[in-house]
Amino acid sequence: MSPWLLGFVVFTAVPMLASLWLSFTDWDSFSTPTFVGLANYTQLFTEDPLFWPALRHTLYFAVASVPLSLLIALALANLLSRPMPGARFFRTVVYLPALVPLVASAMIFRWLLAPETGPVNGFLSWFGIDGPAWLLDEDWVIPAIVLLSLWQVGAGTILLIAALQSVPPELYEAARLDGAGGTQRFWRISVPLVTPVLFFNLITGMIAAFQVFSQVYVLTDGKSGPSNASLMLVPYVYDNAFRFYHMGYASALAWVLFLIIMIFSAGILRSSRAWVFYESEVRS
Amino acid sequence: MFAPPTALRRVVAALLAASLAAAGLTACGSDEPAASGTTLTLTIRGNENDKAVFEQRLAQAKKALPGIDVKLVQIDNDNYDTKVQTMFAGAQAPDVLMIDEAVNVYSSKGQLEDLKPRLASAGVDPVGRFGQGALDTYSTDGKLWAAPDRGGAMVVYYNKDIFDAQGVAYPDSTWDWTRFREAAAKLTVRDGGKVKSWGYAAGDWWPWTMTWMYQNGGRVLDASGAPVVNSSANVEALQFYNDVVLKDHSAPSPIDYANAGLDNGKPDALFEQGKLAMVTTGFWNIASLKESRVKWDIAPLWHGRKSAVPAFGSGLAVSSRSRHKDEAARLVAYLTSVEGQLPIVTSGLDVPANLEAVASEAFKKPTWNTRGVNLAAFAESAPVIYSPPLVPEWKEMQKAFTDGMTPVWKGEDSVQAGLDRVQKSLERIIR
Repeated sequence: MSPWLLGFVVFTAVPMLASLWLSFTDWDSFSTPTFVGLANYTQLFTEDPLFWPALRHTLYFAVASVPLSLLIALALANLLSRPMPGARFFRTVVYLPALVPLVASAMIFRWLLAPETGPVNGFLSWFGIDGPAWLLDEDWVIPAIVLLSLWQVGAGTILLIAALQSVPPELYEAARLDGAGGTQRFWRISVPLVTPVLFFNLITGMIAAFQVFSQVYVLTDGKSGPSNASLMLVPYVYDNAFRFYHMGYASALAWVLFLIIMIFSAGILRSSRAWVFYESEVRS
Repeated sequence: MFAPPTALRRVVAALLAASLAAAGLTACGSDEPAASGTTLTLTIRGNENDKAVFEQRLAQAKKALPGIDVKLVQIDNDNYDTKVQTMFAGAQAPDVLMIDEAVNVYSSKGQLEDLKPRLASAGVDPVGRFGQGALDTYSTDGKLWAAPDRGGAMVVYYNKDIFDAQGVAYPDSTWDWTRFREAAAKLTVRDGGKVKSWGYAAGDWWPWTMTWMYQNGGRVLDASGAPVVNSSANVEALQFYNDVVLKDHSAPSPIDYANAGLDNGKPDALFEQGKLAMVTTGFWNIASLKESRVKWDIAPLWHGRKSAVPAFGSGLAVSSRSRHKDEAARLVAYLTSVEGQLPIVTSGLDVPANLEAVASEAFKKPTWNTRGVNLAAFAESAPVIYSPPLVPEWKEMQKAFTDGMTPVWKGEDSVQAGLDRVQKSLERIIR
């Protein structure tokens, strides 16, 4: 048995199987677990008033934040991948927010988004827009969390810059000779050649978005926003496991989340054949 | 119904064997004889300061109880419950643990030892030592799950300068709600429509919200443990409080907190900056205000139809899984004695739970009290402390309360509708 395999079995496989077993039990994390069959799952889908909202909010967050992050990262990378004076400085600046600890970022955001004194609503009021109370408003709390996730777009940008810079210059040369403009060169050459990195960012971003925890935890009072308006799945798992002592139920929630992420990942993987372009498949 | 596959069962069985062993085998309750040098594990919650004071107490305990060594595990406040829960789940339960509102999470699951007989055999009279009120907090069905260790009433901290400038007499326990409301309005200083300093501050936290209900003769659960949170007494109480915030604007609303860049219901910073005339909080604020430029003092809380004061503290419990219950109980008995509590007093950390220590000159006139803070306020409040309903579902109850009342605090919904929602949730949660 290789060390890697041993590590996998002890630290990943066994805990996963154990949590699967626990999801069929009623366990308060102190006494002996009692087997309850599918009771946790039926409660989750039919009785729990918070599961569906939590799932809906998490989907909303993932669908809003992942594509936006990708687009912004691609736009920034396209700007920053060109040779220009101060390029290194700007690349550093773009990456900096990703290095700020999340709790500090959240503090900054709370200040930025303050209802009457915050700069964001101050800016909106110049245009005669009466900004919302963001984190206190049931309709605007998730958009606020999406904004915080966009703040950390730097890591994806750096990967894309590297990918864009490895596009062979002769391809652009050839396109230019054929009379292709800047926009065409970007969409026809740059984007197809960085699709592997876009694909990587999409998969990892999606998984991370479904598992959003810290942003919600540090940004909203009560950990779930006003009247549960930003309740997400992982914080809900955490609450059930470590605040309410429903470890079995939390395990069932976690497995449902796991299946959802599996389905989404499988979907993205299947679709990748249609849009991800690997150079090696062509040039060999 | 279906059974899990055998391989998986074996894996899980192995994993659970440890906890089963702990749960099943130690139930025989046969303690190992006290060989020379028993080592006990003690978990405490808090910061470095809490740890330093505990170390002093344990150094004394070492002298008083030779043969008992204590391994102190300090865990920060935010992670304490999770960490201790994990220790229990992993059959690594501490022998003695500091415990507070979660007491019945543990006791209801058979994780704690009844201290009543053990304290009696150690020659301790719990009622004489702690008072009935403090004991009730940690008791269910006539069993005592923890010995009160720290804690005292919450009091009103007030900014003398604002009181003097606005010509309002300092607060005391003779104040009723009307008097309080008038004072809060008068103490709110505005400058061209903008509030410069608030009269009072509170928020969505049980010692604040529940106290209004209890002072109005309301309750959260009735004597049989059934939820009665949407009673007319409770609606009236929270309506009064919400009017102080949203009608009088004498206290910051959730929006005002956000504008000040503060977490909702975290007014301490406002008080320290001199932007707040009154706030209800516990002894722990004394330490953080020692160096403050604000001129402040403390007073007992006002009263409604009844006097009711929330208290904050912690107790020391012995785990039912401990293999050294006798030694653990002896340690708890020592730590809650006058001598064992003295470092809590001399360091100015908290109110000791031991009544003799509270009444001592050392507590009333401690050397650190150079400001002349009115420490008698704690002794004066002690008889009217109420015990919150510390059910095993305590934390779910808090969430139900927050979820149901958030629109009310924002002025988007009536108090009655909010409390009806809380009632419905509680009926689902509390079984």
